[in-house]
Amino acid sequence: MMGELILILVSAMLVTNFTLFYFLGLCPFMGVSGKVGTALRMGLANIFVMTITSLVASFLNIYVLPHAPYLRIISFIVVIASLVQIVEMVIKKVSPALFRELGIFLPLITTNCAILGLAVFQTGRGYTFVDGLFYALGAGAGVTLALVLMASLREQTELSDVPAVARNMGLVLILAGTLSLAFMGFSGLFTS
Amino acid sequence: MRETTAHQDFFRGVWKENPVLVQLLGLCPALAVTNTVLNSLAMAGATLFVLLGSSLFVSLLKSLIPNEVRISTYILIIATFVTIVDMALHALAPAVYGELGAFIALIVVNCMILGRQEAFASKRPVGRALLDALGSGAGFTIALLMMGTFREILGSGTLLQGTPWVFNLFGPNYEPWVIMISPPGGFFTLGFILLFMGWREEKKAKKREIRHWAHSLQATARKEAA
Amino acid sequence: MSDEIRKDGATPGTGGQEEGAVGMPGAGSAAPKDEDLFTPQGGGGGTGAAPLGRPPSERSGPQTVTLPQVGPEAPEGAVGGGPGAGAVMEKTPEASSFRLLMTLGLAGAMAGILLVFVYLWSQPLIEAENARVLQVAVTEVLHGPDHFESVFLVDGELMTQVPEGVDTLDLDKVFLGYDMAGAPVGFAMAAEGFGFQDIIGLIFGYDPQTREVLGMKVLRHLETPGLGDKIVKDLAFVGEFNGVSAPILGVKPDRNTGDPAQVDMITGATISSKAVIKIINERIAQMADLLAAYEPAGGGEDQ
Repeated sequence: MMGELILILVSAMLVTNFTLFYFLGLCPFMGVSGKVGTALRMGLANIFVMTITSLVASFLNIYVLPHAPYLRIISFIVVIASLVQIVEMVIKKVSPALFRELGIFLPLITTNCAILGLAVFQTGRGYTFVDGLFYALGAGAGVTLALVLMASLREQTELSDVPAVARNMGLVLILAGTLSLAFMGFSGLFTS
Repeated sequence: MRETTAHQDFFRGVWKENPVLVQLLGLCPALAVTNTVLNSLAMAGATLFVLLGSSLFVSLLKSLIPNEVRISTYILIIATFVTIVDMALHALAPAVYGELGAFIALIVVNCMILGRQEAFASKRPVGRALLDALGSGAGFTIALLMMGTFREILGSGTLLQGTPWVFNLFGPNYEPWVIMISPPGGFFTLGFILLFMGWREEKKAKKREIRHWAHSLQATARKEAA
Repeated sequence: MSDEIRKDGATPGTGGQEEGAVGMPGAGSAAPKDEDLFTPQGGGGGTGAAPLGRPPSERSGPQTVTLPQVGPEAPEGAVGGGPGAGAVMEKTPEASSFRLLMTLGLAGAMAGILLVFVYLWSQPLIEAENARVLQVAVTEVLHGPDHFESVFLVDGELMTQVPEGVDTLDLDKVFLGYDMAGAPVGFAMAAEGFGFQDIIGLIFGYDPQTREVLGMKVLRHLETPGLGDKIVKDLAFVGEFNGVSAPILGVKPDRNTGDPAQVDMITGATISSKAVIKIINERIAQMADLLAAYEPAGGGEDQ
């Protein structure tokens, strides 16, 4: 039982990394991966929101949506937007320092495709509450991993001799491609 | 707010402010489903439908929507259209639906659509809003087609795979460059396109610089002569 | 980099907006900073902006300026949910809470109605297509039965008629195929499991009396194109499953000793091949006894 859950978590994190395999969460990936510290904080915020979203999505899938499957997309996006707002308010009350740290990132998570993607994929695979939770943890960890790796790479390129014409998003994307290539090596991690 | 012509409203989204290539919005679908030309077209078509529909309604209802719930209402409208296109595609073209999968649902978080509503459709009459939507949609289609063609030709050696008009470009002995239709290929393709565009911009900027320098030299020469 | 500086600058702006849920990007000074932060170009640095030659004044227009606002405005978005709106309306409300709720309620209602219509139109088409795909798949793996019926697994027992109140959608099921004379030809069942890259879904035919797999068809997969996807494209591999004894043993092609339980794996796609075999074996192990013991109720019509 636990083995299966670990399988779900690790494969969501490495084998089908949400950013490098499913292309989700690219907006923050491109935008805030300039520094490692920033990237890490964004990633952690993501994990948090993803976990809660997963639980709510499971709840919706089991109790509400079977009666109105056409409301799936609307209800998911509404839930995510509300969750982000609530999380923001809670963090602001509980720890203003943390709120200042996270700053702009929390509202940006709403339009992060990774969160909605998580909800939709989870539904497609028919995961239960616990499965979904581990899936969300793995997915969030994967996104954080990709963000941090990208940030480290970009910090390095700031110091290296990159031609001016490449000093834009083109370079970032090629770096991302290389990372994605590396992560392909994780396929077949779980074999019989 | 300066008045823009209809011509500007349309063509702005097509190239100069192309949502994918210049503004770097909507990258998730641009990279994920451009492994064949057919999929690229399908995704671009679905997005265009959502864009047109939501721009139409946002522009029609803009005076009725209070400022505070603006964004939420836009998202609601967009999500409705996305659901419609999702169900319609599933019913009318199940094969394509299978290929695009969950990414149709992700159109709702395509930053480009919400951006257009917020920046334009909510402030302009219906006709202009539709033009703007068409322009951005066209730009999106162009970008996706560029990527899809590049990836399909290199990655499968075919064009228009999945349609009755499929071309096999390189013959049966072609070893397809599989990486191109895999995830890294998406990143590399867009990266190369952006690099190429950056290079062209750089050349244009240099030309402009040289012209300005030449002009300023002339101006200085005239002053000294006078 | 300048990311950090801009972020700190943006924070007070975010805080303010979040409180009152008023203030649009155009008005707030936070806007340009937010967008600089958010849009990839902003992150990419000034060098990105210049070559692309767009005058700064134009950027604030069609940019993703709005996105930071999505969060603060969100509580209003809880369609049919009231509490959020009240909590957020602290600053000068330009419209009453009632109006806000009404707008959202109406919008939600209209959206709902529109969707119901589209749903009602599309569902029959979708179901017909699903039935057709199932028909093709079952026919293929059972090699052309005349018709087949669904047999549901209810509380560890197989039956064609489910008891009252049980939703067939929730149940595991297999398909029993019959030939023209009404004699059963075998069961077709779907199974899923992890492949090389992601989940592989397939359907296969099985004869419980002879303990043989009759055929298999991969329904969905995300295996590597050109390599793993040979489990679909390599017809020789697919054909290996016609009439192989269970439990199946995958062997490399040169090690095949002719044993009826052996299947040649695809060179270069061993893991995907093994995954397919494992998925089938596990499903058979799960169902074999039940299927062998099942007494068909005599040629029921389903498809």
